[in-house]
Amino acid sequence: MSDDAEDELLRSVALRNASAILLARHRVEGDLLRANQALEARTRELADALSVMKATLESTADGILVTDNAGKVTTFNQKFLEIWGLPHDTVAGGHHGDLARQLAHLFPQPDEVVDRIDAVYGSTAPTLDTLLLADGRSFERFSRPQYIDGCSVGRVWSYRDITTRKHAEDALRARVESERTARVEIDRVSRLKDEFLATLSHELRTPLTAILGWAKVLLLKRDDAASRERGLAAIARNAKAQARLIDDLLDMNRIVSGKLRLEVQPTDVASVVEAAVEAARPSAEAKGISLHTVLDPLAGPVSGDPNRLQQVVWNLLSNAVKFTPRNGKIEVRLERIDSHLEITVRDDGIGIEAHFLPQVFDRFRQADASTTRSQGGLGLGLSIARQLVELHGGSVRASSDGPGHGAAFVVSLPLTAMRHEPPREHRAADGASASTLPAHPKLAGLKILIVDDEPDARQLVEQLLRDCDAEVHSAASAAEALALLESVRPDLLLSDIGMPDCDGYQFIQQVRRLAAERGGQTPAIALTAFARNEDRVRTMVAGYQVHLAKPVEPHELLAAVASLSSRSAAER
Amino acid sequence: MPLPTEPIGSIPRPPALLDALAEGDGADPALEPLYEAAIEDTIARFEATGSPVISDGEQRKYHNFWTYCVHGMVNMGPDGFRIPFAAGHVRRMPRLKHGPFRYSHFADRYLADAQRYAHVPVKQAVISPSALSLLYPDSELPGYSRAQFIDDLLNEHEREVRQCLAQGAHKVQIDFTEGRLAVKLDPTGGLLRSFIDLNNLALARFSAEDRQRIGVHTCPGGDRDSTHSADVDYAELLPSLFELKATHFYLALRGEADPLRVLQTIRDHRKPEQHVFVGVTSPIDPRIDSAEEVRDRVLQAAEYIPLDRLGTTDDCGFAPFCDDRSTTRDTAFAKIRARVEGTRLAARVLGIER
Repeated sequence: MSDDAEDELLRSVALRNASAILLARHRVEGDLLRANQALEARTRELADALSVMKATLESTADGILVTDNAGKVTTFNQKFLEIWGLPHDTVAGGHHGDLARQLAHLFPQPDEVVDRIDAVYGSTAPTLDTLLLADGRSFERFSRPQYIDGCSVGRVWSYRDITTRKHAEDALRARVESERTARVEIDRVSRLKDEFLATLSHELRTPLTAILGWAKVLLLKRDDAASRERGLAAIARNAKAQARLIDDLLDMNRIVSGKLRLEVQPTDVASVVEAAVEAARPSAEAKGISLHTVLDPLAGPVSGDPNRLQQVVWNLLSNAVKFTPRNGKIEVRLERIDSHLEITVRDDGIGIEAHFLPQVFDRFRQADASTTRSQGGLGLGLSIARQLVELHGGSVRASSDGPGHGAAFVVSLPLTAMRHEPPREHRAADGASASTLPAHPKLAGLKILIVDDEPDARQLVEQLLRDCDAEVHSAASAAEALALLESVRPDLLLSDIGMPDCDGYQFIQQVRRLAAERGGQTPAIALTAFARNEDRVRTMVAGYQVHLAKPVEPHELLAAVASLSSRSAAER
Repeated sequence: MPLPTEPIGSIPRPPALLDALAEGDGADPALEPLYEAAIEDTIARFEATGSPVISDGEQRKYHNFWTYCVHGMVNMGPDGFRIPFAAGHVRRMPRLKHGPFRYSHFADRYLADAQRYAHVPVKQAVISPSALSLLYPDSELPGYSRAQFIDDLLNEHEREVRQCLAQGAHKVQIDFTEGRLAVKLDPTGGLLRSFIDLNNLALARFSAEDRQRIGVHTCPGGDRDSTHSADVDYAELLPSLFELKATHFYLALRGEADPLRVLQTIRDHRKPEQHVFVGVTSPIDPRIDSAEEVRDRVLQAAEYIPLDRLGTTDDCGFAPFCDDRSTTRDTAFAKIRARVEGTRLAARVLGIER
């Protein structure tokens, strides 16, 4: 073959190849085109899927953050930005650790926030944390590893705002706790009530036993002067003790219901303390207890109710006498401390256990509440004392070095800047009255109609009034009294309130409806065991001029009768 | 060296090997010690030149850079096309007698042999699909279409390149010496475009990352100090050549009659990401250029090619055909040393090496 023929042959081969190459190229380009189309379709699918994923991310109420294994942020939603107040550009492409450090100040323990995130990245398990922010918000953070084709690629973090739910749970928990506490308190109060009722029953029955016992003895031994004297004294003493119990109960009831009213006036506390000491002295001396008083002459006056302040001191003294053994010592000190007066009652008695000190002023609380306790009483004295002191704007505290080392009670009262004027006369304490009965007033010529369905009580009053030379008429019922009213025309009515058929209120109302000439304006005293303030008010409204609570001291009764009768005479 | 320089590939075989090859088949196992000694000596001498990248000198490629991969295949006949060289001699290629087309040798084996001795990176040259496409005869082979052949050719080429990459070749250089030959055969350029298409079909099978290690070499051929297509204007080739999806281009320049015109063409058609290694030594010129002459050629090229895209190489292999005795090994390594030193001198002048 010639050179030219060979060249032509090679050219022919090459050009034929070119056709095949072109076909191959077209085939590859076709494949490429189809691959591109498939890729574009797949891209559109992915774009759609991405849009759906984005929409899903944005439609959830949770904040979502997606990070790779190195903590780099790959995806997040708008809610995440809103929760943490972060700008988009800070989060996009940022690092989770950097974001955590940036947000750490929102948490009470900033260091723990970053450490915890680092720890989660070191784990392959899902985690759930509750985040409590300093601003009061609460979040649940759920972190789950993300896998693609079985390989870990990072974590998905979701933040759910549980602030409202948390508050509700906290409120529910607090309510449950409150209810539990209330149940415990109810149980405690119920238990205290049972104990108190048992104590009350005991305390009422004890003097009652003496009264009834001595009464029977006197009935049997009418002519035995010595027995009569001792028995009457015992009856009087026990009746007074019972009256004190009832007074305490009523006082506490008034305090608790907020109905106790102080008759406030400039009060010389030294006089009050002296009166209380004198009232307590007999019972102290009976136990051989020395009662020493130290009064600061510079102690100024306070603004207070002298009777109630005396009751406070007397309660503290009674308590000291009760818990001080025979031949012990009690000191009462009044001194001025800056702008306060302090009254200290200190004894060398049995002392108080440290654990009981905080409860010593609680109602119905006694260190020894057993049925075999050595000391009686309702456990109200100290509580009443504290309440009265606090009503005066003061405070009272107790201290003791422990059992066998005595105790001290300190009343602190604010001094009042006031014009110095002599204190008013005030009612002597019951304890004082017992030993210093005033002379009976003379009631000669006074006609008094007594109305009481209870014969013993009626007869006692009859006796007292007759002893004062009054002309006494008695009725056992309201109807009988109304009948006597017009016939006797008494100068004064003395009526019980609690009576069958027609009570004292109805009785006086019927009296007041009568004309004056028929006795409709006869002055009237209500003598009743209904001793509360509202009872007093009700008797006044019904038509009585004076309310006397049973049991009444004879001299008080007589004084009231004398006072009302003279006042009425003067008005006439 | 900041200014890279790489060889093209072949180094004249040692005389002992040449003598043995002249007496028998290159695949004779008895030649194994000679091949091994030739490779070891070539690597040693290559490294002695200071060349930062070397090759095995194609000591084991038999019988030449073009047909080594099908040597010994029973479906190849000896009566393929002929390549006439300017010096008057002819090289005849084999012809595919029937399908399927398969390689008998893959170049990664040569690479692995060289790496056993080398202390610097080794590059590997492979023949282009377009060159091998000429093995299919003019008439259609029964039961084995030209289209099937093209597919098989691409598959075998891809396999060879991948194996070389996997073996750790510093670069895989695709020898495309038939570029200007295509223009010579078909002055309309249609044949060249089909060669470019075919080679791009192959290159497209690789990732961009792979292509960072793939280059293309073109020259007017070089055998017995002669060329087969130097008379074709480079300007006819280069615009199409830069359409190849390769990163590196090893272009003969030293032997060109008008190197400035070539450089201008390169400047006008090179794509920004393409690196150009310009030929600064001429294997077919018996004279050994000095390092200074090489330096000056580099400096000239640097006026047309950005420094970060410029490298140097030889115009061609020193013995693409194994029986070529026109150049000695000493001359080849002396030229290579001049290339390495001249490139370094140029780098100093250019301020990119102290």
